Amino acid sequence: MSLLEGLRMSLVSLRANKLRSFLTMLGVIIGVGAVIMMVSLGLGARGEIGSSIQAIGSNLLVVVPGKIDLNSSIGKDPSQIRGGIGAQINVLRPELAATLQEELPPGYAVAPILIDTRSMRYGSREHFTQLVGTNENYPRVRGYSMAEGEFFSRMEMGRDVCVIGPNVARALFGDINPLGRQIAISGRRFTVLGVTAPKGATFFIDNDDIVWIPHGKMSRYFGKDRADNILVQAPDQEGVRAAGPLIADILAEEGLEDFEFTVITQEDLVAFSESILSILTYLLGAIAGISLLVGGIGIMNIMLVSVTERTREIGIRKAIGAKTRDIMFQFIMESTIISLVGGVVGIMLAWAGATVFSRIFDIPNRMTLWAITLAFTFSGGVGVFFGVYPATKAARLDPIASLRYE
Amino acid sequence: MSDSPGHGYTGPVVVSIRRVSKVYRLDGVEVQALREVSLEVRKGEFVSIMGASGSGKSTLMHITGCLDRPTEGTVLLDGMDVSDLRDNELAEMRNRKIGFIFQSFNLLARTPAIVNVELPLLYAGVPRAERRIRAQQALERVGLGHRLNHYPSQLSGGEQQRVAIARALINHPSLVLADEPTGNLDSRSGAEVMSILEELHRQGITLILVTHDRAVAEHAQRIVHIRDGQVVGEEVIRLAAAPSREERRRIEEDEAAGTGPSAEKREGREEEKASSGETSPPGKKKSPPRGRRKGRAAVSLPDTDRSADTGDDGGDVGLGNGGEGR
Repeated sequence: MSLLEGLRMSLVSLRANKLRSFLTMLGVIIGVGAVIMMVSLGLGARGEIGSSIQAIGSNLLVVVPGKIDLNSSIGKDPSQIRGGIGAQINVLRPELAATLQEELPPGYAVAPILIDTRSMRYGSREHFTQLVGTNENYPRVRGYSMAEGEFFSRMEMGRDVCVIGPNVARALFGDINPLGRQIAISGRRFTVLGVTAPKGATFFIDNDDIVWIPHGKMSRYFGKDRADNILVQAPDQEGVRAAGPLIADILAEEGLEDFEFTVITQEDLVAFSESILSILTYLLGAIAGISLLVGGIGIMNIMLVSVTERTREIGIRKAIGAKTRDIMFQFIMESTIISLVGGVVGIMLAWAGATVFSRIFDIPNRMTLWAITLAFTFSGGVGVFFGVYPATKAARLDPIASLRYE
Repeated sequence: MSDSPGHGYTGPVVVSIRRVSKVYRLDGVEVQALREVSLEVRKGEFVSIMGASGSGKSTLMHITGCLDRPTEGTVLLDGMDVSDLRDNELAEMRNRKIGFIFQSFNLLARTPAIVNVELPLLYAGVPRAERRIRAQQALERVGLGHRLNHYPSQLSGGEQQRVAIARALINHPSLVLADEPTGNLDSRSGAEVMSILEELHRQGITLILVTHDRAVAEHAQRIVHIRDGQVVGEEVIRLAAAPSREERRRIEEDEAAGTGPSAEKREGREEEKASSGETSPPGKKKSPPRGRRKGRAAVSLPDTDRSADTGDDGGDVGLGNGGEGR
């Protein structure tokens, strides 16, 4: 009996029990749909994180204190990812930024980052937010543009000036133009030189709710004499790759030990966050896979019922010459059709569902051929696997007893 | 067990059942369904196996039809020993050598008549186009050329049984086994079905009919009585008065070639049977050819039974008139 004959025969049986076939299929539809949707949205979220890391700036390297190995830090204590060994003895002096700027080839821009949290006050209004000490390279390195005024220049590094984010401006000044006015940062007065343009959030950190001051002032007034990290922007992708060893050499000359700092490229960060999200994606996919498994068990259940119900049919077929493999083939074909058709419908539903979800939650929908192929193959496999037992049962029926079955 | 009477058939032995016993084990209790039954059916014969329910006639039919294996003894089908075949080999024998006609028709409810008839060919691996043509011809032969795409539920009992007959014949079986073929039918439909069987017999098809009903059994030429799992007697209803044209031609050819009876003798396993075969061909020639009237020589029956069985309506289901439906 050819494949086509079997297909035709199975379709007749499935059509005879439309509702039952559909309900059985539903288990597979939901299973396949869930797998594909989870994986697609997971991959979409991964891409989103990747692009939000890109939004930090382009062609960036980050020098952080201590030794970090991103590749082996998954699953470890998060404090190690942020600091690692030597994080407690931070040796990143802000002046190293100036040294790097001098020693690196032209085209590189270096900005130290010193982070603190302070209360900002203007008149009676107070706003508690992040204070960042940096230098004039900051807007270029981080990709900020100005809405009003200017970022402090190299010449202004020695003055008590600040730049505020748009959210800070709204909180402290409301409708008043903040340019030229003075805010008090923990009692120290700083003149507002500019307001940055809105940039949104990266990793849930609001890029627009920050106050920037020259890093020298940060050290003098607020006692912070170590940089949390130093950002280095390379002129191009090629420069990023070249800069790693260069920076390490320069810092070594400055007397830093190998374990006291780490140079991380933006690519490393992207890869790292993507690897975490991959784990999440596969976990969600696996959970959805369980529902596909349940769908498969549903198929087996219905096929067993069907075999019992159709005992007489099996008896007739055997009496007129159907062999064991003919009966096997017929029933496996039926369960495979159920699961494959369910798989196709599930893929279509997942596509629709993922499209809707991505609209609502603003996550890109990355439906990949890879996920579709996997789910389709898996559902076909489920059909065969869970069809084998009922089909074997059918094929082993005794023809005489089957013919007598009422 | 009685010896095979002189029933006048000299063709090759289609079914040879030799000292067959069958023991079932039901819930640990042994049930002897058959005890050393022997039976021989030659090509073109129409034999009834008659017995009450529980007599073992169904078991005998199952074993003859390759649905079951004997516990002891041998079953030869077309000279082939089928007693110890494996399941798939038995399935193939059923497919190629046996045509079943059941009391309850046993058609697949969800498939139209023509697909039901095609089914044995499907399992025989015949291509679809050829299956269609042959199934259509078979349905036309039983007068259902106009009902090809009807579902069993849309057909009367008699029509369903005719579909089943078409299905039984489609693969040119060596033997047609009919198990109470009229049991679920009203007398008119039953008569139709019986006249089809008689027509098949006239065409030279070997038939075994299993029944408890004497009136039905008497359509055959020979009745084998079975009781308590044993053959308790045989009676000849009529001699081989109506060999088919084909058979007659074959016999004449054999005789012309000078091989006929002696060739048969070599095939015959038992001397008595072979000798009875030798004597009958001359008698055959004198018999009226293809008489529609039944030979009543051996048995006389009440007329009421007769009228239900034969009547002129038999002509309705005659062969070759089914084409009108298309």
